[in-house]
Amino acid sequence: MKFDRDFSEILSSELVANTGGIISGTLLAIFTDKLYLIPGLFILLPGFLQLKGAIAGTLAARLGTELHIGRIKPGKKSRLIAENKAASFILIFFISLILGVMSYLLTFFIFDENYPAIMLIPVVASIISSIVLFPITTKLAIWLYKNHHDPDNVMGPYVTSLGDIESILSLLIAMLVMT
Amino acid sequence: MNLETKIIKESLGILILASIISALGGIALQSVEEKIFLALPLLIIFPALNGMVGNFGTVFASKYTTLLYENKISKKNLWNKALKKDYLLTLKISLISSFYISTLSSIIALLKGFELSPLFYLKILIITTTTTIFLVSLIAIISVSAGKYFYKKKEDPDNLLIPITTSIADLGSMIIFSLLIFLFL
Repeated sequence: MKFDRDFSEILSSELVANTGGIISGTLLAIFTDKLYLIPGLFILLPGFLQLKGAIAGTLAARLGTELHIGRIKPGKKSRLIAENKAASFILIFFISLILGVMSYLLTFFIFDENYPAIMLIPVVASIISSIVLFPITTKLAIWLYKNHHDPDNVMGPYVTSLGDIESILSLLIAMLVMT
Repeated sequence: MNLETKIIKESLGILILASIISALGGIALQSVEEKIFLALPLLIIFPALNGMVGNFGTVFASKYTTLLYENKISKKNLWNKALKKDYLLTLKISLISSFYISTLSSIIALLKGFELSPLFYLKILIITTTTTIFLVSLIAIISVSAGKYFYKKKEDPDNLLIPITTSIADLGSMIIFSLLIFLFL
C-alpha cells in the first residue's frame, strides 16, 4: 500500500516536472538559430537551469517551514518574507555572475572562442526571471497553505517546472538584448 | 546576524560548488553541441533530463536518510529489503519518465518538421533510459556510502547528502548523455 502511495505521489510530481522540462526544451528548439550563435551556451545552460531550481526551491522550503511553525501568517505582511526574498535575489545575482565568468573562461581556454558577453547573459537573465519567479513562489506557498495544502509536498515539482520554463525565456530575452 | 546574511552564508558555498560542477559537466555537452542542434529531440529533452536526474537524487537521498534515522538500516547489512524497495521504486519511475520525455520530445520534434525515423526514436529512447538507469544506480551507491559515513561522523546526512548526490548526478548525466550521443549519432 505504502509502495503504491509513494509510487503515485513521486510519479505524478515527476511527470509535472518532466512536462515543464519539455516545454523549456521546446522553447530552446524554437530559437535554435539564435542559440547556435552563442559560443559556450551548453557550458552555461545546465548550471543556469539548476540554479533557478535550487534557489527558488530552497526559498519555497524555507517559507513552508515558517508557515508550518506559525512565524509567517497568511494574509499578514512579514519581514521574514522580505528577508527571504532579498537573500534569494542576492544569491542568484552572485552565483549567476560566477557561472558567467566560469562559462567564459572554459569556452575561451578549452574551445578557443572569445565571447565576453556570455559573462553578463546569465546575470541579466537572472534579474529578469527573479522579478517574476520569487514573488510567484512566495504567493503560491502562502496560497497553498491558506487552502489547507502542504507546500512541502506540492511546491518542489511546480517550482522546478516554473523555474525551467521561466529560465529559458529569460535567457532568450537576455540573449536577444545582448547580441 | 540577520536572516538575510545567515541564508547567504549557509547557501553560498554549496551553490558555488554546484555551479562549478555543472559548468564542468557542460564541457562534455559543448563538445557534442553540433549533434544536439542537429538532433532536435535531444535539444528538447535536455532540460527535462537534467532536472529529472536531480529530482531522483533528492528522492532517493531523502528516503535513505529517513531509513537511517528510523534505524531500519543495520551497520552490517547496508543493502536491506527496505532500501532495495526504494531503489526499485525510483528505478521504475525513472523508466516511465524516460519513456515519457523521449516520446513527448519526439512528437514535438515531428510537429516541428524534424524527420524522425523509428530507428532514431529507438536511439533517443536508448540514450535516455541508459542515462537514467546508470545514474539512479550511481545515486543509490553514493547515498549509501556517503550517508553511512556522515551518520558515523555524527553529521546530519540530510544537509549534505542531497547537494552531493544531485551535483554528482548532474555531472554524471551530462557526461553519459554526451558520450551516448557521441557513440550513437
